[in-house]
Amino acid sequence: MMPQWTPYLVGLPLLGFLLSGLLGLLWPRYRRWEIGIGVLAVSVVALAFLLALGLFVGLPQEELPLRVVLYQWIASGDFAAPIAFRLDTLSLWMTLIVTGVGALIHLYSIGYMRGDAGYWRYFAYLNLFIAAMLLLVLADNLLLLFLGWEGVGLCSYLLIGHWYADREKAFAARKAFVVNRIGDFAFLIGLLWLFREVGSLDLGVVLDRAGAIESTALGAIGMLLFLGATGKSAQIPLYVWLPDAMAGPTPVSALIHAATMVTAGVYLLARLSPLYVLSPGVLGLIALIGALTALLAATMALVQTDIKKVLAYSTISQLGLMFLGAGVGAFSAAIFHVFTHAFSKALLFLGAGSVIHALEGEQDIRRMGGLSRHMPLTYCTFLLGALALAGLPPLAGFFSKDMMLTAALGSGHEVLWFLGLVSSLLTTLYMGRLLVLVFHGAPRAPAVSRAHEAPAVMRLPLVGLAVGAVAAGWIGWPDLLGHGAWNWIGRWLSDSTADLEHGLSLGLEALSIALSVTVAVGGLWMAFRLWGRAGLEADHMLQRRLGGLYALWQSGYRVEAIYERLFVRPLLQGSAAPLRWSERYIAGGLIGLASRSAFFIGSGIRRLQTGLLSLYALVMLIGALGLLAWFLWRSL
Amino acid sequence: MQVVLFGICALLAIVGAVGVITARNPVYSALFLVLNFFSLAGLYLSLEAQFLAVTQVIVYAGAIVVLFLFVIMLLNLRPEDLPRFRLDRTGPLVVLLSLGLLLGVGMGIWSLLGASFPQDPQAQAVGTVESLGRALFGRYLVGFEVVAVLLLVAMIGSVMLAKRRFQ
Amino acid sequence: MWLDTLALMPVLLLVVAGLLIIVLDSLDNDSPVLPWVALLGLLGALVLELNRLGGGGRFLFEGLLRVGGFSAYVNAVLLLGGIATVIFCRAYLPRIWHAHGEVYALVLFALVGMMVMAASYDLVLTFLGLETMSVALYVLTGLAREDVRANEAAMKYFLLGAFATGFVLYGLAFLYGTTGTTRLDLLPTRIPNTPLFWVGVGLLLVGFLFKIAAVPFHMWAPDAYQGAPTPIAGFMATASKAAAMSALLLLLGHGLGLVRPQWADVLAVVAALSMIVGNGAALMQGEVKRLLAYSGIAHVGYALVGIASASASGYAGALFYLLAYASAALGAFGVAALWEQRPDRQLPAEDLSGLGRRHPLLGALWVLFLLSLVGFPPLAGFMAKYAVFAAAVQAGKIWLVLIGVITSMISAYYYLRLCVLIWRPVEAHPLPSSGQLASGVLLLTSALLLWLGLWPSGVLELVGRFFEDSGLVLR
Repeated sequence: MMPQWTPYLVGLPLLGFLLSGLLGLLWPRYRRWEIGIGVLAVSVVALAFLLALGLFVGLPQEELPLRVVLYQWIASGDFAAPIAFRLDTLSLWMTLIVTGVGALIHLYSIGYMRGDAGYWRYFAYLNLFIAAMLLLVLADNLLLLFLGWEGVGLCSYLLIGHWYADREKAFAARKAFVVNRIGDFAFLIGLLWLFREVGSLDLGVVLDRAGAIESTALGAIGMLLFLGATGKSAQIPLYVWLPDAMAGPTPVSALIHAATMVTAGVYLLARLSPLYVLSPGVLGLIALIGALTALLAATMALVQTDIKKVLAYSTISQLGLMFLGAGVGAFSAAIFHVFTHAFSKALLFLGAGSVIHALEGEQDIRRMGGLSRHMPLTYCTFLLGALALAGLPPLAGFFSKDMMLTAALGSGHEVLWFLGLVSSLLTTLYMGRLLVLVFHGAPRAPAVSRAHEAPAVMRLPLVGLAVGAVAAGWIGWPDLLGHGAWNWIGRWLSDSTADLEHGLSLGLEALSIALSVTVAVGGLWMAFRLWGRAGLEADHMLQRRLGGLYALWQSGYRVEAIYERLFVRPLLQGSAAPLRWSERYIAGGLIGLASRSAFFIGSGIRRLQTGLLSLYALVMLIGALGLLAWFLWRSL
Repeated sequence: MQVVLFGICALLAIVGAVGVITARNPVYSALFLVLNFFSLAGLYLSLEAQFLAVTQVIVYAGAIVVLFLFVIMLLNLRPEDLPRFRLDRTGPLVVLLSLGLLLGVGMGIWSLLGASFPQDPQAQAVGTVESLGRALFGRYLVGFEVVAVLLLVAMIGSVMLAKRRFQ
Repeated sequence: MWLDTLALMPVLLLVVAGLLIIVLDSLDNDSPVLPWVALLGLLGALVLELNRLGGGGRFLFEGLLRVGGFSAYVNAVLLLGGIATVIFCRAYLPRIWHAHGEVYALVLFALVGMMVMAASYDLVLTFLGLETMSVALYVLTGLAREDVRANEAAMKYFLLGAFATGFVLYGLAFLYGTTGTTRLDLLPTRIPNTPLFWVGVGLLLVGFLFKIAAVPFHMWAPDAYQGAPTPIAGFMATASKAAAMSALLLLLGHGLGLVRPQWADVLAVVAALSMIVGNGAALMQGEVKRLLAYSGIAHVGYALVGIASASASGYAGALFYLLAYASAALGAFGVAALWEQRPDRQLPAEDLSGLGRRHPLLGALWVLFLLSLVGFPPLAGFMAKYAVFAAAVQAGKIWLVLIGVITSMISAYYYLRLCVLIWRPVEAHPLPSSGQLASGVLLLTSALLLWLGLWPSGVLELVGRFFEDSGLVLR
């Protein structure tokens, strides 16, 4: 396969977006032709996947990285930013994840969105989402990467707000967008600073010259870019948008949580890993933030009652683990976890979507239960996804999580390793709780008895993803087995990421693995015992036992309220005050402003509010005086 | 001699300007304007700009103020329609700021007292009709033409706003 | 001399077209031919200007004016604005019963003033251009004479404009007094570092900053735009700003280029204030034209970031910004003009509901224009913001860039609200006036936005060439 085909990876979904969008805009009849829209959208992504697969198989690893220049985007003075793509092991791997999982989610959407008024819009945006994510992943230039970065943010806004007529959903979309913009802002500043230091934003140049950057500047740039990553990847302090983002259609949640968007932050860290390994302080902070996020989000997941919110907090927690992995220098392990997590989380979300679909929109797990009898396939696949996510060997999640945890231990971050282990335990607990409360026990709502399996077009992706959730981990066996010979993924990715080597003795590694296996098995056993016996009563019991802590978890550590008080309200008030001041005169002019005089125009005498005018002139006068004072001060 | 002439003209110009905005009767305002224009013409004369001084008197003090007076009389305003000049709430602030502006400009001028100013060689004989004509129809021909457009715009605009009938 | 006059053909063409319109109008009142005459003149001028875009500039009339290059670029932007304005006026004015033929002549004459400003190398001529533009705009603002709001707007604009003119003349006098010249090409060699000279510069800046509506000289803009007929508001927001900005660029970059440190910081402060106040106030606006006015104030701030960088790349960025902003703002005002239907000529944001459902294409274009104003990649607005911010970073004004990025982030909030609003499932009225030609213009500007965003190299290189030698000498 020729590398010249690379631009089509982005081009195909983009073409799908343009076709769906334009046809839908201009031709009302097309909007109702659901089959056509769906097939078009799925096929462009599937084609992109096949193309990526072709590149993956056809390009020998030794030939990578390759640079494919499409054309010169910006060339002004000494600054040039070409539209160029970078094919290396990392970007190719991410492309496979995005297109592969993305295509399955597209397929699922055909069934899920049936009858929706915005069918064409939905698929157009979905394609654009994939295109933007691929642009982000494949960009050879950080500015181009930023283009994809922003594009992903926009698409998530559009898709989360798909049912924009609902005020709450529109608000969730806007929240996601605004929080992301905060991260983007830090990201952009970081980029500009990097440009100032290096003189180019080409990845090759940046990574080459990373060593030449002065260390404080490097640290600051690293911090800024990391802050951008926390926005996209929903880490502390910018995670608040992700739980609300489930306002969108469920397949969109699957897409955001599994294949696109949130993985962008992890990808960025891995992409710039040669830069990050030079500033250990920043890395340490990343690891700390990751571990804390993993722990806190896992506790919050434990007390949610909305099926999608459990999964949303679970994603935040898992992303925290990835950041922990990246922070201790195991970048390839973090990407590996992106890979395995993509399967299990997409599977879980699509499974949840089937459940919601079957229960006609019900999302509260307290009104579910006993669904396994009515939806056997969904149950089986959901079970596999949950177990994989919980890290039960030999399912996929185990391998990647283990790789990150051993790296944390090996790099000497024992405390963080322990935090990671605790959040793994919590993961098994909340996954077990979810599984039991949704599928086991007696039905707690009449709708359950009417539940039925989803159509084939929705079942097929479930099966496909379930296979991945089971087997995806087998490409990266721990060093303990085969001494790294069976760790194919590590070798593949290490061409592109600058992993920190850590000499962990086999004994310690065995201990770590044994502990995580114990935790997985023990946690699941505990969860099944607790919720399996008592059902919802177990929640109440926990609430009684834990008291204030439980309430704290339920309120999400009151972070939202604190943000509201610290940022949102002051901002609104701050911008309102000067406005009120200036507008008061306009409104006041109607009621009767104190300072006014009359003007005469033509023969008819008409009163004009000139009090306002003197105010305007006054402001101008102040400005003029300011200018004069400045220039006098400078010249005297 | 020149200093005395300048002093008188400048003082009259200021008195005239203040009178224009403080006089309650618009006719008095217009007459104060005439006073102001005349003293400006005096200042031009002291700068050896004879042509400018004459034009100032003929065009501004003559034609334009006469037009003003016509308009004022046509409007036939009664005294109770007339606004009284008074400082409103922002008045003191405006006065203060204006004084500040004056101070700023004054400081600029003060720092240059006694300094020599660069002379534009073209400006030596700018006051005469001949040099003015050469400048206007030579280098500044474009400017001259632009002024023509400017006046045309003013004319079209006022005619359109005044004459057009509307719903 | 005759050759020099010939080189002014684009301006002359507009004057002739304007005169022709007046004569034709007196023969056949408000004839439907008039906009076409105006368009013909504008297109001819545009072709001529585009033709000499690539070449370097050429001095005319012993250094009074310079055509080609810089001025050709700015004039092309201005003419674009003029063409769009005439076409929108043609669709809009009959609806408010003011389809007067004179309007087109006034638009053309205003453009004459603007184009003179963009080419002038003598501050006296710049002043004349400024006044020609201003007087025409005062009249156009008050076009709807029967409406108190329009009267008020025109009156405010006029009185404050006269106030600003006073500052300009005062400053010009000091400038001439201390340097003995008003010529920008002679100014660099004669700059005295005396306070009076700087007092003159400060006063002069007041006038220019007033015309571009930079904070704190912006107060007139929202009222004026709200009172003016919508296409004229678009004209004021784009063309008149571009003209005054280019004159400012010539004065600061060329005339005062050698003493950059003296003015760069104060301009940065004005830019920061404009971005903050403009975006902050726009956040709370319910009326679309008022909102766009405040957004325009903010965008002036962004363009000023480029000038405040006081470098070749900064000036080039500002020029690029002008084009990017003009294309997007013309489009936004155009959609507003086509959609507006209230007899009081107001357009509350709620009135936009349903636009997207009724006219999907118009809705999509509206979203595109607003996204470009947000600075969303890959549209022109992003590239423009990038260009000025990069220049400011290189000039070491990181704080300015911080403010710029934060405020543009905030701006996303109110732009997106307008984007979402139009897709609300509300039964909306049909387009009040059929605007096939107007839709064509909208398509054209949106294509321009995409082109500038995706293939900006050509234009960036072009504007960069105007300022090659460290921003001092303009080609």
